Amino acid sequence: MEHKFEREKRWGDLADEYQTMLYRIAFSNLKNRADAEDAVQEAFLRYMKDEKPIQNKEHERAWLIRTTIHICTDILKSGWRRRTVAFEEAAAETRNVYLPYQIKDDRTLEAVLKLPVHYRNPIYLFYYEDYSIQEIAGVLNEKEGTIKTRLRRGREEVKKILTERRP
Amino acid sequence: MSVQEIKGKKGIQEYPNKRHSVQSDRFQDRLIQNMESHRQQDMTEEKTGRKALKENGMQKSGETPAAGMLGSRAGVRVSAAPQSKAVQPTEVRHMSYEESDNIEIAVTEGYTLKGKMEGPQVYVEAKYEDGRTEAFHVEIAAVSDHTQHMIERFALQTTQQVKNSGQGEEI
Repeated sequence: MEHKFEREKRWGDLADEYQTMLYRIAFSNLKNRADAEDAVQEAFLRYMKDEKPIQNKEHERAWLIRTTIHICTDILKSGWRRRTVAFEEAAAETRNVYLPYQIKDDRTLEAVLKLPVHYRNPIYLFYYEDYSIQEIAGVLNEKEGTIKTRLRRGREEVKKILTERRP
Repeated sequence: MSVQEIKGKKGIQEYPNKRHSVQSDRFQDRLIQNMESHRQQDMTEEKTGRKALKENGMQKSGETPAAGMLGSRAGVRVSAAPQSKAVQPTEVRHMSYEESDNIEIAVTEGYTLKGKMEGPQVYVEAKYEDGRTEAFHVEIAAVSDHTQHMIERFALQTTQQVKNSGQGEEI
């Protein structure tokens, strides 16, 4: 277990390890670079201030992802949200700048970014961040069965979006 | 009741649950209907290509579709490794995307594949929407260039990827 002062000491390491991943998650929710950066910074700040001990690496990662998603939800609800970019632009930015691999065809990613939030986050984490169902359930505070259902239904929604777009 | 008494009656009382010929006919009708609906389902699957997905790679390798088939009713459970001489199951290492030489993200099919060159073999890890994870070693020398087997094809792609870019990863 780690105290909050120890967390502050390794601030740089934390940022190196999680910053880009959290940014991608925030960006997939907010579709705006500035808002996504704000959300990630806010998540780190909350982590530093948090009094509760963190048990291990997985707990730490899950905590940060969950908090980032909560902050994104708050931003989406608030009135001061900045202009969002087009889905195509969002997908291109996610693809070109931040993913640790190259995507040949980003039509699917665009479709994923269009999904409602309860499908988008599980699908994004499962496919693009390579999280297991168990990890996603922990991060999103849901049952594994719920995540499996959302992945299945979300996939059907992605198919629909892709079919609708076909000329 | 003696034999004489029975003979004296007009007819033997029928067992109440005995199937009448009408009932048997209905049963046969239902059976024919069911068979017809199964046949139609097969035809639909053939049209949509789902059947081909079920039998992915197996027939090309000269094996029966039943061998190693995982089912694909939901369109998710792509048969990752039907028995193939080149593809051998191995322990899952939970390799990350960063470590992989090649990645395939198939959101609409419900799986991801990660591959890494390891000498004459390619290590392939498959993760499915239903939570299963499988890993295989693919002997590249034993794989045909024109294979339709999902894992073999991906392993070939991985070797090509490594040859082309050294460390590039592509979906």
